[in-house]
Amino acid sequence: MTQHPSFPQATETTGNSIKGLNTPMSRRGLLKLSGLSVAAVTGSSVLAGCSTGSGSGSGGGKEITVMISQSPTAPEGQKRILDLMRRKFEAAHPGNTVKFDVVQLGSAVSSAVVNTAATKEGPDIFEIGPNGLPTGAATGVFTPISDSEWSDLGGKDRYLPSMLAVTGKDNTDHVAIPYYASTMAMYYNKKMFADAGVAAAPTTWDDFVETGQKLSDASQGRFGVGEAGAEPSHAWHVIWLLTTQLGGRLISADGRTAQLNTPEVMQAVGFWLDWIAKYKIVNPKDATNSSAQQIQQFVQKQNAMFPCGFTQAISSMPGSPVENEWALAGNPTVPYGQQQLQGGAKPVQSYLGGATWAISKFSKNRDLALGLAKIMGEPDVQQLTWKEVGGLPTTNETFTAHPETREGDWKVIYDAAAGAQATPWSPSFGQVSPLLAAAVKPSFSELAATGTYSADQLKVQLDTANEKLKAALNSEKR
Amino acid sequence: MRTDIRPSKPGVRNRGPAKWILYLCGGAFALVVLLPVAYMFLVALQPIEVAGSTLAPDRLSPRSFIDVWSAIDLASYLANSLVIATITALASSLVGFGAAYVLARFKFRFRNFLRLSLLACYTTPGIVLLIPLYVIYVQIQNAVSVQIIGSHALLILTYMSFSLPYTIWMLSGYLTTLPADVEEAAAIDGATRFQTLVRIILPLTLPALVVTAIFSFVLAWNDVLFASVLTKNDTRTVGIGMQLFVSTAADGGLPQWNNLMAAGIITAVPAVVLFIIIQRYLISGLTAGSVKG
Amino acid sequence: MAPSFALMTVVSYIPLLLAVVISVTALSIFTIGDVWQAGLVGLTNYLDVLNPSGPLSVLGPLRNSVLFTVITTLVAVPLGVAAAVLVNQQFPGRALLRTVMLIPFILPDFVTALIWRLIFQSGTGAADQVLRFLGIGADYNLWLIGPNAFWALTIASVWSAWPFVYIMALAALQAVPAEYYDAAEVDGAGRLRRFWSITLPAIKPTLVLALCLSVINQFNSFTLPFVLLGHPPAEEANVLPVEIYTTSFTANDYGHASAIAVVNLLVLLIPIAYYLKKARSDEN
Repeated sequence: MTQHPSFPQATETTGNSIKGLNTPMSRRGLLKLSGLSVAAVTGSSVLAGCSTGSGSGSGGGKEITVMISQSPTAPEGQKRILDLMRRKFEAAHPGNTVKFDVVQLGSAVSSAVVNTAATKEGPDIFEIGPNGLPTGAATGVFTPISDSEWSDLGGKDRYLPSMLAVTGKDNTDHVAIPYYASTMAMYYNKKMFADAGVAAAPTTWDDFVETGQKLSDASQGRFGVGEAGAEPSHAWHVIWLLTTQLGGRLISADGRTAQLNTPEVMQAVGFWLDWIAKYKIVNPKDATNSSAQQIQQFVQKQNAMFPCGFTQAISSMPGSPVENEWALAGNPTVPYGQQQLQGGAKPVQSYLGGATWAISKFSKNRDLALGLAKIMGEPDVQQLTWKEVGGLPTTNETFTAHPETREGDWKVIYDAAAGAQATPWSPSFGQVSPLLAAAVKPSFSELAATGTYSADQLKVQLDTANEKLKAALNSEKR
Repeated sequence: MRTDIRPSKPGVRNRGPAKWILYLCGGAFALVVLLPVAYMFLVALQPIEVAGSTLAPDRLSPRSFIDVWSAIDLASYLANSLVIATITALASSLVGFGAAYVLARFKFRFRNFLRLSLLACYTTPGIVLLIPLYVIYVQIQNAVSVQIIGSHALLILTYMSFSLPYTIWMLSGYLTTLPADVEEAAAIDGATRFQTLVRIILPLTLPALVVTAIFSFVLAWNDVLFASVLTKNDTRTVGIGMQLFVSTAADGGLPQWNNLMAAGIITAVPAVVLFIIIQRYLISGLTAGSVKG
Repeated sequence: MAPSFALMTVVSYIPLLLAVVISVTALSIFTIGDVWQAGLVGLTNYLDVLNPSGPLSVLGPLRNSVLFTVITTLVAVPLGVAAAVLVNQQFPGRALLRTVMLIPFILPDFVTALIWRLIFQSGTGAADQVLRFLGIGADYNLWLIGPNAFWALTIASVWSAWPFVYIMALAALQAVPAEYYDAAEVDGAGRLRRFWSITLPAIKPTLVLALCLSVINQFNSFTLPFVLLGHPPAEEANVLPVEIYTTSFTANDYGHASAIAVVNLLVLLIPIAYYLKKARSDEN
């Protein structure tokens, strides 16, 4: 139950941390500090500030510790899930106990990883988003799970293949066990679509623009598409999706080369900005929207759709004015200007967010940790997680036992997850988000002021972002 | 306590600027200050769907002021902040007064160096000190095997490292402006230096002390940087509590401007009340009166 | 005396030194596990952040910080002095006004920033609604990104900064012996004359101190820009403390971050040195 089911934390410390109102980031980043400082005191013992104490058992039995960040939307539901896991664990491993260290601050988990790297002590299991895994692996705290351990867990084929794929570089050396998944999808208003004579959600970006134009009338101040230009993590979501669909990458496959200024990225960003500049389907003022404001506009029927929305937005729909009108669809997959995907390209609707469990290299009870991880994948736990905190299950047996978890609206999520593409396995990937967000900001303000943007200026911005990413990748080598 | 700054001589002092000018200027200041604050109240009272998107004062309800308490552990944050900020204010004023007196009244070799270092301390951004400071705390903690990180005391000491330089600096500046003749008069009367300090200088310095105490209080109350690293779950302060709330509110989906503003108002109330109570000190004209009398 | 300096040694001087040490290392998230691997890099970090064309250049934020600080202070100081002089007069309601004037100072920075963030929302915020009502400008303005962001930050900062000057100026005004005024009045000096020849000289030492502290406060202000503008902030309003934060916790590059911090500190030495000089000449 990472704080952002949709958006993993560790590498995204900054990009994501300031949700909407943009304050929480300092705590996130700052908690990370504890790691740094402890690092300077080599060999120091447990870091007091964070309760990362690894369990030495009491009364002969052993205790394992799982560090989890509190679910922001459903803390009570989260407790029920943890209770279920605890009961099952204590029944399966009599005499041993499990302690769920639920931290209120989302960054505490990623900072605990860094602390553990420095102090060689910490929790046995970290619950962390897929994007946090490369960093954890780079610090040496997350190590590959061996084949025999995977068989103890029920085999790799127990898990949703796309989710398993993001837990290890090149789908090998998996360092974590999938818990639940979340994806980007498109939210749209069925009624507004029908009123405008649009039968179905767009599947190509051409369709998307056309539909958007049917639902917009800039002269009346009506815009079909909502945007969240100021949401820190939003820029890279859109740019990553559009770039990937064009066959480009943000970081090279080997994780060594920054590619933020390639023609594909330019084209992707240009198309995105054209929603405002050329097609006039997005209100220029959405450049300062947080994702919360984007969702608010949608439920107040100011917009008919928004792409790249995250799974947790589902929770905002019941009881809202669009309660009976909203629907989910996958993001369009065919690049603008193309009628169909070229040359066997795979349709990509999303990358994968969600939560995984990484077992600490320094755990003294690795077998028990694996035992608990096995229980975490069982259908009752997975179904309860789906129900209480809204995470897509990741074990195949759950879909068999509880087919409802991938039906209805959840089919969209499931399909997007099944077809999701992994983000680059790079410890510096977390920097892509703030760099891209900063790079597009000037163009957004230019758009609002003049109605157009300068491609040259955008290129300069992307070049700068690329240089910064390069510097980060270089520091990895050092 | 006197509220009048200067003992007035009737007939001479009353020739101030025309009343309407005073009211005009006063009104302008009050408006500038109060409009944003009033806006904060308005938004806090608006229903969640429209909060922050309209200036219309309809359908107002104090709901958010109730909801906020159950949404986050505001009571405990407030209690922690009150304890930490109050002690920081008192301790740095007392300790700082002694140091400031020495700095102001005695000439010694490293005086200017010390003064410079005071400003250096004060001017160092917290964000610079945070990393090294934590290293040191962890070392101390390991050496004495007592968990100090997360305690109120450590946070207070940390805040004092920022409030003390400022307090000493400010008070020593203030003390140099005090006429030396009161001290000389006391010395002639046979008072020891300590007696002079406590009986004469301290009361004279009280207005400045109150100011520095307030600054220290505010510094501790407002901090978020250090609190985020040096507190644990049961010692969280309001700054951290607010941050936590902002993040959870944003994660829930829809904007919650009303609840946020309500939380903002509530976290500001204790400081405001305290200021109103001790403002009399600010206003009182102890210095002028005492020099005269 | 001794205890307070002992405390400051531990909590200020030593960490300050450590910060300088870190600024000449390559300490980053990747070397955290074994800090001795970080290695010394000499002045490389400084050259990186001060290289105008380099990707890690902080000259832009540095310029923003200086401009923002100067403008905020230039507006806040006269406002604060004016307010202090005003409430130093006697009129009914004065006590209330004094309390009201303290409000921006009392409000925690994160609350102030939230209010102004709300005010500066495009189209829906109070700023745009009022402008629309008055028929000035566009239907909506982008206050929080683009060139306006700098002014949004400045406005919010002035609002929260002037009471600091006000409090100090008021404290100084109250220490001005009343006889000075009485004597001047007997001599027939006008109101303005009295202000220039009595009030201002009397509160000048405090005023210089206030000016200096205000510059320092603004230059080091982190919470306000951070919460007001979000992160990453608009390029035009990116200030040094936020850049230090970004480098520390986005780039996880503690070496460069410490170098920027030291640069930040060195720039501040200018107002500090000026003040010290002033303070000394005033004493003599």
